[in-house]
Amino acid sequence: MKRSLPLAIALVMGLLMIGTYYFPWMDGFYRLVLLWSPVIAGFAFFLGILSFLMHHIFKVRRKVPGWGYNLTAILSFAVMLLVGLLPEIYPRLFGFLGDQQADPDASVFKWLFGNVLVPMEATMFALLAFYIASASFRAFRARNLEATLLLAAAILIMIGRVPLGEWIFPPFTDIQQWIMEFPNTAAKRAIMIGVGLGMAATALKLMLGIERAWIGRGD
Amino acid sequence: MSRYLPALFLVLLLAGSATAQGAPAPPQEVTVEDYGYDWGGTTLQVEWRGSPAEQEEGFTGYRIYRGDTAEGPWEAIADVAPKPALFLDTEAGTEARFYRISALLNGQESDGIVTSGSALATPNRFKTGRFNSVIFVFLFTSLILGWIWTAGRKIPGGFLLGYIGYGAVFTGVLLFTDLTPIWDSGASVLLAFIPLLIPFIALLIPLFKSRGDIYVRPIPAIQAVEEAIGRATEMGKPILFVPGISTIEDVATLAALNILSPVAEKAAQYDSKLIVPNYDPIVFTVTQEVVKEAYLKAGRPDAYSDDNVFYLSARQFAYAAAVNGMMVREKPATNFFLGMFYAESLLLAETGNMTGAIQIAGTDAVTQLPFFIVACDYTLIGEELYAAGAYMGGDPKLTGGLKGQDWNKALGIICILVLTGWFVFYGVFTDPAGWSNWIRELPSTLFEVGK
Repeated sequence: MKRSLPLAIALVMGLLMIGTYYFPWMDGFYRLVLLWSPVIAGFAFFLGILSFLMHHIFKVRRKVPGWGYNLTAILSFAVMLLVGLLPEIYPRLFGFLGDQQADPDASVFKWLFGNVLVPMEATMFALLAFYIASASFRAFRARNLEATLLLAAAILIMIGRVPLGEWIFPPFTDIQQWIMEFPNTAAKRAIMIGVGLGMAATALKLMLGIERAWIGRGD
Repeated sequence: MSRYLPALFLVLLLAGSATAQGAPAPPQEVTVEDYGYDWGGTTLQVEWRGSPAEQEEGFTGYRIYRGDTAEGPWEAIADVAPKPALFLDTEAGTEARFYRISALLNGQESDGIVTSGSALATPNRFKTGRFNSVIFVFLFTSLILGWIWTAGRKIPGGFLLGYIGYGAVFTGVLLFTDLTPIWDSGASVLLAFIPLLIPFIALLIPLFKSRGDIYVRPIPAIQAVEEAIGRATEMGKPILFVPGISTIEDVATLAALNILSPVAEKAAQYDSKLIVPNYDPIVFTVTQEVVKEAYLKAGRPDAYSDDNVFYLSARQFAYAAAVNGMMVREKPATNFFLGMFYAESLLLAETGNMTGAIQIAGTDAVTQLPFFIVACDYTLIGEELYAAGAYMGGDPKLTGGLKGQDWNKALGIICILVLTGWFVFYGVFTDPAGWSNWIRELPSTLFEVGK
């Protein structure tokens, strides 16, 4: 029962959702399911937050190496929760800063979000440039024929994509565009066709309960 | 003052030319037809070919008018953006309707307003535009199901009956649809498939009968899984499994969970610590269950700890930073990056590479594959991610599904080749001059892309 019920739900819901794709009179059901998903996500978020807190509190209590990071995570969570929640309950709490609900500039929550979280995320994203440089250095070492071809294609693409390349030799622009439009697109499409078929086959196996790792492989 | 007169005159002239731009040209070829996707039967679809004035500055879009007769009276029902040149009138009702469309440039309407013919909204039992995909779904599922249900055993007696019944169900579904719009839409050639559905199934059966054991091409990344887990055990270091940063609806995430199960089982058998940080709260609840079940199956439920399968953050780079931190501090011997990834893929893989871990990655995100290939030891490319679960599970039904998938791909390749050949010969026979010109110009076409 523990396994057959989820499998039956997966099969019925799968068939119904396929039906919504083909039959207009099932559109209402589709909209209903879309309404359900945020409700389920809400419960899951609660479990997620619980797991987050347990994980970090456990590490702080045991004082595992690097527990300061865990403490920072707990404190950040608590601060964001408080500045987000308290003004809703006590609108006058940060009243000296302005109207917390109506004025985005006065909201402490939004200020912390925009001036702490967003720059930190941008910093992480910016690191990508350096990671790409180190990864390219490793990838473009001409160790064998394939790697040499990759290196040659990369050089042509890079030169063709900067104004200097066109200045040195004008056909570089056309060559790089040809590589991107033909061999590159052909390879990408081949992968994408395989991915599409694989997706459909996996979905079918999940619906029929043949692929059941997601509920445990046991019988 | 007089020396400023020419300049003043020029300014007035320019201003005059700006205001005397005139009304824009109207759109062309306005057509209206029943919207084939609604059950209520009150929606009409209006389409038109854009006005030449779309290129001009100040062009804001089109005004749609509806009328009961070709002469009016006309009611303005909506102002729409230039693209797409399509409008769905959901309140067309059940009477015949006419439509007029005018172009809007700097607040001015076009003079010559174009009127459509009339159309009547009717209820649709079936989304007629999706007729083609029913045929595809039938062909696809027939092959997959056939291979799955006959895998590893003789064809059971009821199979033949059930399989032919499957063809009958599809035929019934298609006959249930109102075929008139499909017949009218030019897709009528596909209707020929309907009587062929059941014979097609009958043709497939010998295919399943005649095969021996199912061969699955070895995938190096999957073969390396056991070695990678063993390495972690020998080194006394943990294994990190990142199930991507997508939701549970994503098939790539489900494929990652299919791999997580045997990986967790092996980790439990070898008594290695498995860390699974999660991005999505729903995926988190599922991964927790999958790992718990795997430990139970391995006979080591005591070794499972909720503390190792946990939720981190639903912010992309916060998640990447946390996982990177874990990799640097705990130095896992083996990293798995399986599922759907975006820009954080290289951040994760490159950090893992720097810590010296053996890395196995897999994703169906084409744009992230190069990063994984560069920074990881093994990469599951595209569909290999979906095949991995079948490969590791060892269930003949799963490998049968893979075989069906390969047959579908073979059919797809044959279709591409046949259609390409057909178009080439069609071109040669119907327009020999044009075709020879095309071949003559091929080199310059290929090397003058984008010009």
